[in-house]
Order: sequence, then structure tokens, then C-alpha cells
Amino acid sequence: MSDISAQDLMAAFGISLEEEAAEEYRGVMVFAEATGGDISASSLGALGFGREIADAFGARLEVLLLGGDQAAAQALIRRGADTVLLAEAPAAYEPDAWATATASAIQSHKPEVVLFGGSDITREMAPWIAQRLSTGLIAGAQRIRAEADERLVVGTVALFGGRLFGEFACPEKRPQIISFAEGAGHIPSEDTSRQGEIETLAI
Amino acid sequence: MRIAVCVKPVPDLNTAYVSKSRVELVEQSKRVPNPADENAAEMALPLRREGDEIVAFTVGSDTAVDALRRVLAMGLDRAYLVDDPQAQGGDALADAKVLAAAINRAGGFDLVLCGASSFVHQAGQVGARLAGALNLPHAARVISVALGESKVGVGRAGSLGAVELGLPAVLAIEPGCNSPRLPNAMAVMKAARKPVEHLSLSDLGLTADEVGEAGSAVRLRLTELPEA
Repeated sequence: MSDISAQDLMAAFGISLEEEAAEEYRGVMVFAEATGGDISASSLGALGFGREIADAFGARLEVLLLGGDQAAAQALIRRGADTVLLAEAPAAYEPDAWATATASAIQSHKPEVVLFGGSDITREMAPWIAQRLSTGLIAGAQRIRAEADERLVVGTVALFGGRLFGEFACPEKRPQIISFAEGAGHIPSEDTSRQGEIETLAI
Repeated sequence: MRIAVCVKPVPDLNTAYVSKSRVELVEQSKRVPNPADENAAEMALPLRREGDEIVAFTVGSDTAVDALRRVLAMGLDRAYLVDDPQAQGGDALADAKVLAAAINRAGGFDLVLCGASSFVHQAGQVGARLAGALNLPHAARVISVALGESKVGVGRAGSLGAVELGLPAVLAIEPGCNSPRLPNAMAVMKAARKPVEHLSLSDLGLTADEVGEAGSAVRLRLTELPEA
């Protein structure tokens, strides 16, 4: 009797620590950059994918906006965001400030999925953030799809310059982070009647 | 000054392209350095002064020695190869952990260079992850390096522009930003005698569950040929 550990008992009842931790993470977060006032096309492309995943999971879609203002936040809501987190970060891209702000927003909001559009900025930031959070990054995805039962996002990535394609997933670690190839995604159309929340995020 | 250059062994797709299926080709081809890692080695070589050392680091199987000999023939001084079978098949998270442990074990580097992305995946993760694991500043897609006493100024590709980092720092070198030198026959013969030290997980103080496939977050689920 004394040989049975707490871990054995949990395993016997099908409980694993990893699964419990994964369940703390809910919702989809899209990173949006607005350099020079306008939201980048790559961010809007990621927003389109984010809306699809959030709908498939029955989850909320948060957009973390860096370098933008209230007007940009409203535009994101019209294109599908449920909540916009308006970060009080420097308006121009500063690697340390933006990456640290993004990592801490992910740590406090705990989304299960984080999406980055394909840009010079995200190519520098996304792997650093994934390392900080000790999780996986599916980098340069051409497209993604939801496996709703498993709450998993599967990303298709070109390998060897397009000679092969691979489907990648991040089954255990959370959040699942996906960055897109440049030009991936479709920009969702505007719905002027859409309502959402804007939260200011102090850095 | 000591400079580390991380080298990823990749299949040489220029060999026997016609006779093999694409999957076979990827699995069986001879290993060469990832092209961007040759750019990183080329970036490091002109920075070397009297008494400096440039050291290559690789995670791979014994076939990775071919890729290491190539950068040694370019002029790098010595190499470390983590060829523990359990360290293989890892994603960027796992591989950065192994490389960081090997670099820490060898110790005392002022600059750590790697290719900004491999032509296998173009993911561009290892530089940033290595910087995180080593707790050093980093710059991505570097195209030029100006080395000072305690700082390094770098130019970057794309819209990112120039930046200055304190040393030590991790720089991910943009593919194609320079022309890697072609070693002559003498350099190739000399490279065969340069030291390649093999490292196991226990040398690095790592366990099998944190590296390789077991330590990876991202898993490949399916490989498909492109749509015709």
C-alpha cells in the first residue's frame, strides 16, 4: 500500500498534471502590429485565421495591439476581435519592449492559441517569446486548421523551399504559438455593427 | 575573443536528385552545413585576430561530421558534436537547449553566431531561442557585423535596420549575405586533423526527457508532396 504514490493514483484515475495545466489556457490571441498608424496586412491576415479557430473552439478572440490607438482597436473589432488589448508600448517597434510586453500579456491572459502574422517584426519576436514561455512555435505556416475535439491547431509549413510540406502541431505545451508565412491569411471584411471591448494594457 | 558558430547538418540536395524519391533523398543524402551557417562561418572568420578561436557546435548523428569538416576546412579551429542518439530529432526548443548547454560547457564566448534560418524549414527560431536559453541579447537576420571592445553593431535585412548590442551576444546571420569561401585541397586535408570533440547528454548535464523528440513541443504529423 505504501508503494502507491500520488502520481500513481492520479494516473489510475486518468489525471495528468500536463492536462490540468493545459486546461488553464483558454481562448485565442492574435498579435497585431500598427507601425505608422495602420494595422499591418499580415496582422489582419492572422486575425482572419484567429476568428476561424476561435469559432471552431467556441472560444473568445483577443487581439493584442502594439503601436496602435483607439481607432485601430475599433477597426480590429469591426473585423472580428471580441476584445482588443491596447498595449501602452512604444509606438515604434523596439525589440525588447515589444517582445517583453507581448510575453507578459500572454502569461497573464493565458490563451491556448497565439497567432502572429508574417512580418519582419514577428520573425524576430515570435521565437524569442516562445522560448521565454518554454513552448513550441510552428513558424512560417501557410495555413492552419482547428482540430476542435483536441483543441489543437495544425499548421502546414513548406519544407525545403516547397519541395515537401509538413503538418505540425504542438500537442502538450501551452500556448500553441503559430507564426504565418508572409502573405498568408485572408483579411476579414468589416462589419460596422460588431461590438467588442477595448482594454488598455499597462506595460 | 572566442566565437561560437552553430552548424546544422542538412541533406545535400544536389546529389542524386533524379534517382531517388524526395523523401528518400532527404533521409539518405550526405550531410552538408546549412547554407546560412556557412554564411555565419564566413562572417566570423574576418573577425579573428591573433590568439582568437572560432568553434563550431552541432547536434546530429555521426554523419554530421561531414558538415563539420566543411566549416573546419573554411578555417574554423575546432568543433563540438553532440551525437548522443537521444538528443536527435528535436525541435527548435529542444535543439536550442542542447546547443546552449554545449556552448556553456565550452565556456567564455563573446559572440555566438548561427544561420538565421535553415533551408529545410526557414523557421528562423534557433538564434532567438539560443539567446533566450543563454540569457544574452540577440539580433535576427544580420547582414553585417562591426565588432567593438564591449559592443557589436549589426546591420539587419528587411525593414529592421541597424542595432547595437552589448557583448556577449547571439547573432542570426541572414542566408546569402556573403559568399562563403571555397576551401582548397590543402585546407580540406588540414581540416581532417582538426579536433572534433563528441559530447553526450551526461557531459552536458541534460536528461533524455528534456531533449530530442521527448523534449520537443512541436511534432511533425504528416509529410505531403506539394499539390501538382
